[in-house]
Parts: sequence; structure tokens; C-alpha cells
Amino acid sequence: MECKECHKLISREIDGEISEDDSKKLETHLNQCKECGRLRASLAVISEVHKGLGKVEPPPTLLEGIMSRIREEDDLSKLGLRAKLAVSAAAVFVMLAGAGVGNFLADRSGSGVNPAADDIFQVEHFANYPPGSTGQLIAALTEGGEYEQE
Amino acid sequence: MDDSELMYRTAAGDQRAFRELVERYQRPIYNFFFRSTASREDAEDLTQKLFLNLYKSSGRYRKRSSFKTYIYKIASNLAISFARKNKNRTVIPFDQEEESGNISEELPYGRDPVLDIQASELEGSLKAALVKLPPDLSSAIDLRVRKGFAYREIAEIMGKSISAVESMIFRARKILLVELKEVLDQRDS
Repeated sequence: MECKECHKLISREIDGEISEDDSKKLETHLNQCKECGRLRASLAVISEVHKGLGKVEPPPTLLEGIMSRIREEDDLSKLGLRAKLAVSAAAVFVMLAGAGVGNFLADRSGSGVNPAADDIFQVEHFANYPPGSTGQLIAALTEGGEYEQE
Repeated sequence: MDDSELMYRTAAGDQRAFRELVERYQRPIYNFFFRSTASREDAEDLTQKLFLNLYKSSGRYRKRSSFKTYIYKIASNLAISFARKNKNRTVIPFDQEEESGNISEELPYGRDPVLDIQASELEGSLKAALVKLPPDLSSAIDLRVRKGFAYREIAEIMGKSISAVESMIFRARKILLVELKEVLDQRDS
């Protein structure tokens, strides 16, 4: 076995990850090579010192700090959900309003009625629209008039 | 209750279950970060970040391997990413006075004053050398030597092959040996 291969086996041996066969090969080499023997001793010392390095205590406020951030996170998630719901509701409203305005304009152009802009938003005006139109429906809903479906 | 069960409960909105997980892991995780950053402030920030990530991702947690492996996977990624972002940062020496269980108290030569000094020197040099290691090597050797993970588990944590892990640990040892050569020679003479 070459020294280079031996060095890798030493590292595995220190970690308890060496096979029985490799362990025997390593011992044979170490019996013949003092340099590799010294290397093994040094690496073993480093590993022992590393293992025994002191532990530090986390600050006593760490646990509460983490839990406080978790609660903030939960609050933000709830807020985010509410915001999403509000945006969805607004989007539905805009779509419905858009559809209503579209129908209204279509009714107006089909009826030949061309009122002044000021009149468009007068409820009485809707009574002039043809039967079955959105204008008639609005008039019926607001004034109690009749609405005939075409 | 085991760690995985606590994670499932956390995902279901049980904050007490999550608190139990934090209580179990805050100390080893904080130490893992402290050993790689040499800074209490950074270790605290990273520990907080880890638990926040863990909480946010609790719904995606599935028990494929041990929870310990899972949490150290997040820790290792955070430590490596932190080290890469801060590679030009000046490393401040460790604050040693509050550490407990130092090697000089544990090894048999601990009672000889001369050997005590040498052990203390070795510890100091090792701590400084560990901080200088490339982040992936630092994680690999810490997971093996201080956390006791097997090569197979480290491979899973770091997303590497077992032979890559073996090689990283060996490279870390070679670097540490060069850094500590002088102190080791003094000790042997």
C-alpha cells in the first residue's frame, strides 16, 4: 500500500468507517512506515480535541425570539389571505360591473335612444328602453315597473 | 412524541408542537452555526432563520429519513450559503470564556499545567483553523466529528456521494493538520 492510500484509510479509521480488510492493510502499512504512524497520531489528537471543544449556550431569549417571529409569520399569512380574498372580490365586482355597462351600452345602441349624458344615469330614462332590455330591468327594479322578457 | 410527529402537528397549526421542536434542537443547531461562523450574533440569526424556514415548510415535510438528518440538511445549506456570502469577512476570534466542557478538563493530561497550556493552545488554534476551512469541508467534518453522523447520513444531508464526503473530510483533516503543525510539533517535542 502506498502512503497516499494509507492517509485516506487513517481518516476513515478515525471515523469508524473502515472495513475489516482495510483495517488489516492499514495496520500492516503502519508497522512499516513511521511517517504514516506519526500522521495517524496527529490526526487522532486533532479529532479528539475537535470532539471535545466546548459547547456554547444559546442566548436565553432565542426560544422566545423564534416563537415571536413564528406568530408574526402566522399573522402575515392571515393578512395575506384576507388581501387575496379582497382582491378576488374586487375582481369579480369589476367583471360584473363591466358586463353590466356592456349590456347597457348594447341596449342603448339597439333602441335608437340617444339621451344626453346627464340623462343616462337618471332612473326614469331606463323606462324608454325596449321590453326585455337591461334598461327596462333596471327601471323595473328601481321604480317597480314591469319587465317583459323577450 | 417523536420529532416527525411534532412536525406533522406543526403543519396542522399546533404552535406548541413547534415550540417543543425548537426546545429540542436550538442548542445543537446554535452550536453548529457558532462553530462555523465564530460569532454569537451570526449563530443566533442563522438559528432563527433555520427555525422560521422549518416552520414555513412544515406542510411539505415528509418522513423519508430521520428528522435530525432533515434539520441538519437545512442547517448545512444555510451555513454554506452564509459563508459564501461573507467570504471576505474578517473572522473575530472565538469568545472562549463562556464555553463549557473544554478539552483541557476532559483529557487525562488536563491536570499538568504545561500540558494544560498546550491543550488550550491546541484548542484555540483548532477553533481558528476550523473557521478558515472552506464552508462545505467545515460542515462535513463538524457533522462527522461533533454531531456523530455516519458518512452515509452526511452524504444525504449535503446531497453528495459517500466517496465525496469521505474525500471532503480527509481534505479538511489535511488542512487542519497543516494549520496546527506548529502547535502539534511543540506538544510532541
